[in-house]
Amino acid sequence: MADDKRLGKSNRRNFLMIAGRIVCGFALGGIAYRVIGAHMNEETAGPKSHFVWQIDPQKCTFCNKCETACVRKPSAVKAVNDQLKCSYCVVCYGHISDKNIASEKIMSEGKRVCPYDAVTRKNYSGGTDGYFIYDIDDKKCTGCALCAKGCNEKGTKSMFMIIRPDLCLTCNNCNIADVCPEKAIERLYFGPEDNFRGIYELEGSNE
Amino acid sequence: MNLLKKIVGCVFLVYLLFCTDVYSQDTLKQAGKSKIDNNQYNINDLTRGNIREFRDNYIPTEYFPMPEYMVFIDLGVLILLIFTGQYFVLKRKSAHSITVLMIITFVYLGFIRGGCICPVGIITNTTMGIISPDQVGLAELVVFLAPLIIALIAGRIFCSAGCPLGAVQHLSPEKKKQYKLSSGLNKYLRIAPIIILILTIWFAVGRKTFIACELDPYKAIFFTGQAWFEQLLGFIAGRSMETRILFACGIVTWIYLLVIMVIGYYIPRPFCRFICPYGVLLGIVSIFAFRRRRIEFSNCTYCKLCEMVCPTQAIIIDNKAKTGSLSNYDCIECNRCSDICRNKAIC
Repeated sequence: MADDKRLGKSNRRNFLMIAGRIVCGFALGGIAYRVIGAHMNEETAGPKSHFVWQIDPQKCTFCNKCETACVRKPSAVKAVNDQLKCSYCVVCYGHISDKNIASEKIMSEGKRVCPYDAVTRKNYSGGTDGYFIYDIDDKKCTGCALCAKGCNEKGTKSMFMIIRPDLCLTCNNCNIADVCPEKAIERLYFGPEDNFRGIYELEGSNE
Repeated sequence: MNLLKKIVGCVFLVYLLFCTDVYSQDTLKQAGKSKIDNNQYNINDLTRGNIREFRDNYIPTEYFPMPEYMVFIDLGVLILLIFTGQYFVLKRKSAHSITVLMIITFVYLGFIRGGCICPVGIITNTTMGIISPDQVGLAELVVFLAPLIIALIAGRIFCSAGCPLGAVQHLSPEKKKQYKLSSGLNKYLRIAPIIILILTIWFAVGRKTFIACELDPYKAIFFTGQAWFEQLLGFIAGRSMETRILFACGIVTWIYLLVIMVIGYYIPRPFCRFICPYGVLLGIVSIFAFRRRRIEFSNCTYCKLCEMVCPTQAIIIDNKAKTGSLSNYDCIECNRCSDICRNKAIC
């Protein structure tokens, strides 16, 4: 390889070089043809948008592995309370852990479920036993899923975990998907119709 | 050079402004997203009248990922970097010109985009794409093919112009007089990337796991940088921000990174030489490149300067037998040898 001057003279070296170029060219062209050709065909067309990782709420068991496994610390997984499903309980299982407590004392003495006190409670109808709005502060939430676990086991299942697409670093290989015991983490096409109410549709499902 | 720096600075500033516009709330509204207006629906200030509206509007669509066209901007930057690198290499500009490219790559592709125009993961992506094309987007294909096509023209330019992993290694501290491996050890260690390449393809076909991404030590820097950059953008655009200190990746990755950095102080470019599977593909293609780097022996004085500065031990000069060789498989086109040679023997 040292003396390229011989390239002109030596027929064998010249031939090998040209053959190598042709083989490389065909290999690259073949890969391009395979993928682009499939994208041109409408039946086998690829993703219109890019991939995101998302949790299937039907499979999630709120095991708190998301908190520790995510490469991003604090985790990109956050708890969300869907206000359309929430029934505005006086005693919320995602908010308070001891249930035998007088409703006046909940705000002052009640033992919180969330270790970081991210679940907020706000009375909007007046009176001690009125309607309460529960909201989760995403600045404090670490994705430990304790509130969502309480809400889903005993409550109205309004709280659920999402991987926030703006925080997710979209790794090729999701660490949470590796450790998830229920295989609830899925790679989806992110579409503008996804609203993270916990009812996103998978390909092939009829729900 | 000064003009170049100014242009780069201006482009970066414009990009910053552009990004904040992308993330601003007006853009989200224009895109047809319903979103809670924080002033209108304050959780602490709700009355019976607007509670119904609050409920109907409570959809967390403020979680909005990168817009689609950002991919094309990334690809544009990548291709621009590679072509600039090709110009610098073919004109045999100084080694500092390559360093400028590496800084841009480190900041843009590394910090801003999280190192995820990545030569390592793209092999798995493309293998999955060859098997079932709906698994891979056209952007990934371009990232895979563009460096290889350029390699067929002028060698492994991607390694020293567009690769964020190469940029970290290029910019990280290294000893002035580097430690040279013996040729036998070098030969055996160079088999490792080939094995990793085969394993990567094997795992991509079978289990669809990204084995090469696990071996990438620099993801710790890039992911942390990207997370911090997103926070900065959020601060400018007025989105909700994380109040805690952000860190990506576990302690194992950081220790691995430290080990690779320490090795890199004595032996430059350890990842490129002994781990990177994409380098194997680039190397094979660049053996057949049209305009390869070679030694013009009629000008050579056998001073061994180029052998000393070469970061990948691609050049071997024997000053007794008056011969030498330049391996295009190993050469990463960093322009150091042509910069140091006074007789223009490297061309």
